[in-house]
Amino acid sequence: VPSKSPTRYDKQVFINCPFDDDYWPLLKALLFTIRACGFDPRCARERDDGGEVRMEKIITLISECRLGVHDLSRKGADPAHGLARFNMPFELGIFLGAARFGKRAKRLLILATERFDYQKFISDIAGQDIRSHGDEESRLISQVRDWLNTQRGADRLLPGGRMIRRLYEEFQNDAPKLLSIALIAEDEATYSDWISLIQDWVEQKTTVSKKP
Amino acid sequence: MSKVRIRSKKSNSFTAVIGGVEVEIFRMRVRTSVPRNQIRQAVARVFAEKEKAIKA
Repeated sequence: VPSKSPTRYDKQVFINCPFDDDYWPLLKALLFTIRACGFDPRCARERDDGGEVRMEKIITLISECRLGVHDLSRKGADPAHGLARFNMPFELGIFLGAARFGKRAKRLLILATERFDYQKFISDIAGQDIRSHGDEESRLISQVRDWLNTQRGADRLLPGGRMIRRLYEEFQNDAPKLLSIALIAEDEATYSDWISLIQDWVEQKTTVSKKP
Repeated sequence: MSKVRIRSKKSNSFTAVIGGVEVEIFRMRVRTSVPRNQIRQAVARVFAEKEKAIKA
């Protein structure tokens, strides 16, 4: 944990998770929690440059982030192909390698559906900070908030998990109206649109809360 | 410099000959993000409406 005022690097959180529709509710809750805790979520989806080699994109992102959240909850076979996807464990390995051999400190949180699932498919990660969310947004919010609170350094104490869950519910209630006013159909909203919506909503909420 | 010649065009892909090599090129649906200002205004409006409702 940095003892001085956190730098931009200290506040960046690399997200390693599935990008499919099934996972989207959890990813949205994760993005919101990271932002509401005052950190910057970073993931490969933010750079949709088809000309960039994916591996380079991931390595650059990892090098820019002190923190990493790695969700290994989707370890089963893809129903379409009957094969497991290895991207998440692979990116976790790159992050662990960067933490071990790189020059800058890194910390990571590993998420799984159930806490000891990993022992059955990736037992080498025993001893890491592994927490379970049970595929529930509310549990994911609390787990990520509690972990970020240990990573805040000299910053103020973060809002509690219950408070962030309440804020997230409010954001979710506002989302259809926000999209409608911004002239975005929900199924066409891009990752960048959601990041902007979350960032601006959290900023506005903080401003409103500070009003006398 | 290689010349690109489009040989045939289908609904979502076409074949091109680039430097003597036949390449199938797939069209991708690119979704562009809305301007940031548009989102900022939407957020401000929703909060203004909520504040108005609380006061009313």
